[in-house]
Amino acid sequence: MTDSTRRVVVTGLGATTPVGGDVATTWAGLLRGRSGVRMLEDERYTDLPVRFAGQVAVEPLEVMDRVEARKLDRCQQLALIAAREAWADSAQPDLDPERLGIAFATGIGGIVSLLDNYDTLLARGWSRVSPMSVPQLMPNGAAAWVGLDLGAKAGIHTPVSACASGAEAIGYALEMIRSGRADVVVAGGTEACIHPITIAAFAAMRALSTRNEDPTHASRPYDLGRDGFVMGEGAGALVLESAEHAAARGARIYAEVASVGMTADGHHIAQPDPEGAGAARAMRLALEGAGASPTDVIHINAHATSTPQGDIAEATAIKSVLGTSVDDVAVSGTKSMTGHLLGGAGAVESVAAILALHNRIAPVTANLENPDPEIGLNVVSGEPRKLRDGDAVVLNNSFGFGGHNVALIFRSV
Amino acid sequence: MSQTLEGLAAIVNEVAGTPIEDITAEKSFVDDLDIDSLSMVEVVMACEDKFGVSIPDGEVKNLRTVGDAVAYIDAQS
Amino acid sequence: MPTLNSVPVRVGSRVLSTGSYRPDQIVTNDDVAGLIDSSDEWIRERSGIVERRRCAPGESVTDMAVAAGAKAIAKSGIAPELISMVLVATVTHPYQTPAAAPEVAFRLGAINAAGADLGAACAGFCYSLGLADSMIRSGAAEYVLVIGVEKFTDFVSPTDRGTAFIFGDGAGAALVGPSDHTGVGPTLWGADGEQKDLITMSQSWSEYRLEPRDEFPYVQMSGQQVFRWAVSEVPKIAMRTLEASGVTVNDLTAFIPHQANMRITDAVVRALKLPEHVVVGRDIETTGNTSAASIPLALDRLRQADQLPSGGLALLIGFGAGLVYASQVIELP
Repeated sequence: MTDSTRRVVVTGLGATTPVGGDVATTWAGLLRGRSGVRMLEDERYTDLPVRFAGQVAVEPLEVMDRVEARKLDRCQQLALIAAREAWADSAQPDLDPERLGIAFATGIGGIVSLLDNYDTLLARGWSRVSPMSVPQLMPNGAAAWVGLDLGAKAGIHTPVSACASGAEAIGYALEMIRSGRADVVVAGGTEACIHPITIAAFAAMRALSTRNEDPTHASRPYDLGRDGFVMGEGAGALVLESAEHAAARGARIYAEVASVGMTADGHHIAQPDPEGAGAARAMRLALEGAGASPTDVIHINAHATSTPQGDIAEATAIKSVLGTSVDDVAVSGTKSMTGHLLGGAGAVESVAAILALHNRIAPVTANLENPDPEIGLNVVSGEPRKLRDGDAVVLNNSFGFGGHNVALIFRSV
Repeated sequence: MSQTLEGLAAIVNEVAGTPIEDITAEKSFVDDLDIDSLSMVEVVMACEDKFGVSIPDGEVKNLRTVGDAVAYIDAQS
Repeated sequence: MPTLNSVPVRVGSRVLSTGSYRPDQIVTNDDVAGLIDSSDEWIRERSGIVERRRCAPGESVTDMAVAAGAKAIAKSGIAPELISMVLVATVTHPYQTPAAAPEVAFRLGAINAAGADLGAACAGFCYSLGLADSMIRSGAAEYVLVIGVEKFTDFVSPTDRGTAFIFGDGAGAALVGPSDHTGVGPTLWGADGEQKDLITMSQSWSEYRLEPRDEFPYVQMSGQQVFRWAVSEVPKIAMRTLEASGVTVNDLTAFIPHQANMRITDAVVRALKLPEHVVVGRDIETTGNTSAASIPLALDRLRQADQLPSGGLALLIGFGAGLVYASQVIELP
């Protein structure tokens, strides 16, 4: 049944992010360099070293029924919103539910519901702990709700690989269709874990920017002044579909999911390999899998979290893979606007990479004022950049604590 | 409508979104109001808080209809 | 009975980008004054117009529409094949059929788009924008390209004292797309057909066909009556639009009325008591009255001059032959 040559295409996109409550608004914001990072007004953050984050532009309750929302953790709400948009965007393929699969990732899961219920336990005893708390906290909850909503029965999966999760889900979906297990898979990633404890925990690792006086400029990939990433929340979703299935129903096709390269660093639990060897290997595997050469690559949506070491390690890896072609590749770091959506990042950034390919324009990297000379990439900043026409591929990188590396390649159709 | 029924209807509306006017004494939680077992736990918890009563797990299966629950709560308080 | 599929509704729509096209040839007041026994001073005083643009020989309505549309598409970052509808607001496309929009869509690469023209004269752009917003919110369309374009050179009599100096040629476009919030407020629109003769053609095509040696049908206008109607009604329509949108004049960044006549604009600005900070579109000075194209042309010029910060609110109001009017408040792209 497995057919590694079975072509898989993207027919629907969905997103809810700090920059916009849907794909169109997010995309317009990414072209314009609009930051979705804001101060955390809650007094629980007052004594923390970081008091800002990328919070979704549209609160879930504005677009979701109250009764439905109360059953769900926030990350599940965002996942459903993005998945429904993607499903509608794909014109709702009509197929046997046993041929419809879900691969929806999260890095952290329903941690805010868990913590809220723990507060309830301490304050009021076990009998007041919500009966919905387990479905809310389980990491597969978002995928399961999306599956229930769409009636998917081919299988529901939740890759967990920290900040690479969302991209891994897309890779998983690709393999699900290639293996013949499904004809259509809704893939994506979600995260909504902004809470004093997660802020404190990432801050304890010294991973977060502390630019409290100027939050919209805190996420600044490739800039000399970068001092860590900015937490964000949001979700992205893609409808992946076998090319035959899409063609048979005359679906609009954004791009082909040409390949995925997945590797592990084997270096450190939370530090990137400074040479970026594992990341480079993932990109090479992806290019090989796509049958593409460095000269085919027109754009990279980089992982680019705005950490001092991570940005350099990834840049080193990109240069080693692309060689002399690197100067012709427009690199964008959209976390400069969204913040780091952790398990949602790979999915939202794949949406951005696909739109860049489809619309032949690369979004900006905001806040790049003093480029770090060690980066040496052709970074898009200031104005969005027109990409060349013709057959081409784009690359989306995602890396996660634990040494996970995922490189996705999307090809023009 | 008794005060208890009114209070219970507000809780069911909050948990399940059922319109208040549809929540009448003869309605079954499971068959008519689409309250699954987890939602029923939520309804019970909210009733305990609102009416200051205790509804042990063993009792819950006897509360088939809204009227059953109202009678039980009224007898307790 | 089978049930029909429905499409998902969207929260809102938004203008994502604008683009404009002005023909190269500048026509000064002196150039037009001779044939109407007038003068530069007289024209400036009566209308505020200093110059207007005119198409080059062979340059058509569709050429201008394509030029403006291409700029709006390029600035939006949206591929033309994602456009579901091209609406061309015009009353000067010189073909009874086919409409301009299908050709414009084809030439822009909007291969998946439907296309239709909309005849609402100087309210055409606001009418089309209102339709685009409704179509996007209802799910009937995803991205809609709205173009206002006119080539009045073909339909004005150079010897008609009431119109020869007023009208110009040009095109303006806006790409409208889905939004997570309301970026195009409620459209207030209306028509008063009782006053159909205030701005109309000198004769119909069928009359002209019977007597082909007559003067070619051209636009005629009862200027004073139109002026009186506009000064009295446009401020009321504008106030109702603001009220429907839930904002006041103090919330506005810009006011961009149809560029009919500078004196109408001045009168409306006074009646609305617009605060100092509100930028007013006064593109008529160098562009003349370009009917359906005038609002997007004025909007795009102010945006290019960096006078309209993104996210601000602009009140648009179009009014003209019919009589028809349409108005809405938009979030600036």
